[in-house]
Amino acid sequence: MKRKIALFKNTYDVYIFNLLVLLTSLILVWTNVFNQPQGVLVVGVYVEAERIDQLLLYEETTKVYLKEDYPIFLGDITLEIDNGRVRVEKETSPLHYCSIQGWVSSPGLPIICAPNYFMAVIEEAVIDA
Amino acid sequence: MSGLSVRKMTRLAILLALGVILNYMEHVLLPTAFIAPGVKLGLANTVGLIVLYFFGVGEFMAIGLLRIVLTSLFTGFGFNFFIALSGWGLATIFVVILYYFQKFSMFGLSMAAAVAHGIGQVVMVSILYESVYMLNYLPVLTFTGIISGLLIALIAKEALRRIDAVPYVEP
Repeated sequence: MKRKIALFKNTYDVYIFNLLVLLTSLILVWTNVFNQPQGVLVVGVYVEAERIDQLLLYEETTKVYLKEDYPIFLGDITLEIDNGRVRVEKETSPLHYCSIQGWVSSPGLPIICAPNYFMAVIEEAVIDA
Repeated sequence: MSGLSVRKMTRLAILLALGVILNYMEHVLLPTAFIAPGVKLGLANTVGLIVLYFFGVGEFMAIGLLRIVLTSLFTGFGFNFFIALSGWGLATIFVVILYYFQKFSMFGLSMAAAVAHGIGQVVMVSILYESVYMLNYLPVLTFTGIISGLLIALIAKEALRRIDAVPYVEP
């Protein structure tokens, strides 16, 4: 059988490691400085990648998305917005990742309830035509 | 892969099955998504590295693609399929390019693949959700990709050391 790659790390791996750390740092700077929303911030609510709702980020809101409206859900999902941050307060799923994730205040950082095909993310307001 | 011997085909089939099982086992037994959405160790990628080590780049690509298709038979061919496919696609491009330099060990290949996998996934999510701000999630996945890439290479290295110790009879 062929053995075309070395098992043990070498100098070139260190180069790759440094390059990847540099890449991560550059992306971090780019996302924090150049890729921030300029307009009105909202919480975009998606089910199966389709935007179903937009809620203002600086308006205290608690909204329940019902299973009877979205049969793909495992149960009702409660979304809470408070003082520029958002969280999934209650949901039905085996491991409860999205409610464990807690408050999110950074644009682009998604709250994903995978078994419910549900996602909430802070983004720039989209004006539907 | 036209000259596949039965022995080689059997070995690749076993490795493919192992990849699908590891993928499922990780999902059930080793959940890491609580760290951040989309973050996972990627245990099945150890199989990819083993295939690359023993068989070469063609088999590595074939097994990787088949693993995604087979896994999607269980989970469906929805958005997750396209996200997995884009991650695999970019990771494979990186691995193939680095592989042909013949300079990097599996640690370098694994780190590059894991980071590229994360980038591919985030870019696809950004396209599917039509939001450029989804790209702000990139640093999370590139950072965790470096760590998971190192861990996967370590696991694959230990597995390969043990496999290499077993006497092998050429077909």
